[in-house]
Amino acid sequence: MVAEGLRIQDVSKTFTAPEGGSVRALDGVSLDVGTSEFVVLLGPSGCGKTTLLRAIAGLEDVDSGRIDLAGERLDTVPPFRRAVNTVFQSYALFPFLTVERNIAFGLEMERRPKAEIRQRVAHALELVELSGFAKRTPAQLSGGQQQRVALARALVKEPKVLLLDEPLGALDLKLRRQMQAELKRIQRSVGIAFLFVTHDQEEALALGDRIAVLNDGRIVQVGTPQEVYESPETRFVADFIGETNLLPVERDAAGTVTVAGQWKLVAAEIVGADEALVAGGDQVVLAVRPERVRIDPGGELRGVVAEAAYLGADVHVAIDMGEGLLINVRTDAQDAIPEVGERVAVRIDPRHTRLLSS
Amino acid sequence: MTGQADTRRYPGIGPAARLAFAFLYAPLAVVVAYSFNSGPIVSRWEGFSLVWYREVLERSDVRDAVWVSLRVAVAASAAGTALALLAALGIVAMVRRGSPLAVGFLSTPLLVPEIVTAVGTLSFFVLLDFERGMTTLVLAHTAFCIPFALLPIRARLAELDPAVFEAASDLGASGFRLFRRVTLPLLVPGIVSGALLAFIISLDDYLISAFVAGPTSTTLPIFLFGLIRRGASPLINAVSTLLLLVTVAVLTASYITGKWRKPK
Ligand SMILES: Nc1ncnc2c1ncn2[C@@H]1O[C@H](COP(=O)(O)OP(=O)(O)OP(=O)(O)O)[C@@H](O)[C@H]1O
Ligand SMILES: [Mg+2]
Repeated sequence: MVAEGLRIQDVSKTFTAPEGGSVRALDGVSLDVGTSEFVVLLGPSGCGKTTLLRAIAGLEDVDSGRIDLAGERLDTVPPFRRAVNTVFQSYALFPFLTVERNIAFGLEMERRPKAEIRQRVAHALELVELSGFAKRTPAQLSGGQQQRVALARALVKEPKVLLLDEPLGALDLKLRRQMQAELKRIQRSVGIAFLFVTHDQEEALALGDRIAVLNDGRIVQVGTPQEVYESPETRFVADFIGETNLLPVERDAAGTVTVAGQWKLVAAEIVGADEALVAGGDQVVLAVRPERVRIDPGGELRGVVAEAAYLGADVHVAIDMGEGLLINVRTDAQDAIPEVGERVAVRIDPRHTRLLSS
Repeated sequence: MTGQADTRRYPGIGPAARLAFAFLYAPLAVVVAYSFNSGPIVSRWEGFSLVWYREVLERSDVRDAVWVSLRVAVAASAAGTALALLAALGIVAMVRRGSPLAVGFLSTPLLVPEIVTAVGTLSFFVLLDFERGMTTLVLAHTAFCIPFALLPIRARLAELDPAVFEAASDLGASGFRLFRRVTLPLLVPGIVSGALLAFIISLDDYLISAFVAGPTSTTLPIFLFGLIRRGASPLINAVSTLLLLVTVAVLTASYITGKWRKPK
């Protein structure tokens, strides 16, 4: 898989800001993308996602590291000769060309025979369900339709990897969900590797075969959606993907940890405990998802209900543990909803918690 | 917005504005009106007639001057626009590399007193031992057309999404094909608008032309100035009215193409 796909090794890129000073946009990034894999690059604004895509496309030179595609060096090849194509966030369609001429552009640059171009463009139009719009210009299309043209224009060249920079960012929520499903369908049917940038963690979980989480120019974790959601390796990942309770932890020499000053448990029971405790010092926290916390009279942690909101499918309860600490709980809407001010106990299964140091 | 509306309601603003407009347009109105005067004296109205327009068409010295002016304007606006296009693309590259000087260098000629440019251009030709005539005229006009042609081209470049060029490159376009298939079509409105503007600037120029023209290359403005020194004649009004007509038509076209955004 590795020799076939895209391999990014230790790539760094520093920008000098116009005001002076420098920004390390990419800091030793390494990532592999398999031949027909859907990899999502997820991270907050300014973490270097666009810079990484541009480096792969050749629109930005890298300072160090290397990029290979199908076993051949890519980062020394000019952008117009790379077997990767980009779907730009602004779509960047040619306003003076019709939809079909936009899609044909890349094949004309390859000097393909006319008949082949016509047939491949028709096929691409079908793939994105725009066959009836071939003669329109981009200005005569809706945002979602322009998005599909941008996708078809890049896909028709049959690149080895398709790069998508927040392609759904400009669409409203409903259209966004619809296009997500559509993208997944298209990716499966063409079998081309997708490297998809987003800062929306729900989108990342819904789309990715694997998710690479980027923060401050560094890849902090790569894994399947289940892995990054269930087993975040850092505090940042736990916090960024989904909702998480980060509970303060004290520990003693005997290997016992005390959570929120109330709940004692044996460190060895918790995933990641050893590394976290060695590395973390006082910074260690216990991460637990709200849906993994149960309101249970026999629970180890006690507090007062501060808030209870009915959200349709489930109920959100915030429990005040004292000293300003809140634990968020998500329970089934069929359970009894506790009253605000009620004293309750909660139970957390140690197997669903992680100790995180950084 | 509201501030603007308020100022417009100040007492006296309305009449003042009307007065300013009168100052601007009264001379033009006089020129146009008297071009239809039947008498030979500029300052006395003797009735409506097209006699001066007939004279414009019949006099060979007028025709020669028009012909010289048109040839110079076409050649200089074409060459000036081509150079402005190259300059615009150069500026894009320089700005990308972070040079703040690029735009300034090409725009300052707009602010330099024309007489300085005229003297400079003449000295330059004398230094190079150029004989004054059509060639020097076209060269000088090309030079001062560049910054004017550059204005709409740069305005157009500024409103384009730079990602479009990156997309073209990403799809396999490079070098001349990138220029011809993407850059040029995107810039067409700016180029047309710039060329028309340059054409008018060239057509209307007197000062620089007077310095660099030779005895056989009298442009229309030089010819008109010569006529007026021999005493004002309604012929001047007729020629001026025609020149005004051409200017307004071309500038309107330039403005419309500059605003043109709809794809073909
Ligand atoms: N051309 C540039 N010159 C200077 N700094 C830049 C340049 N391009 C990007 N940067 C900086 O590099 C960092 C990473 O930018 P990048 O565009 O890759 O972020 P991003 O993850 O795509 O963010 P977003 O989600 O907001 O699009 C930012 O701090 C940004 O300010
Ligand atoms: Mg970005």
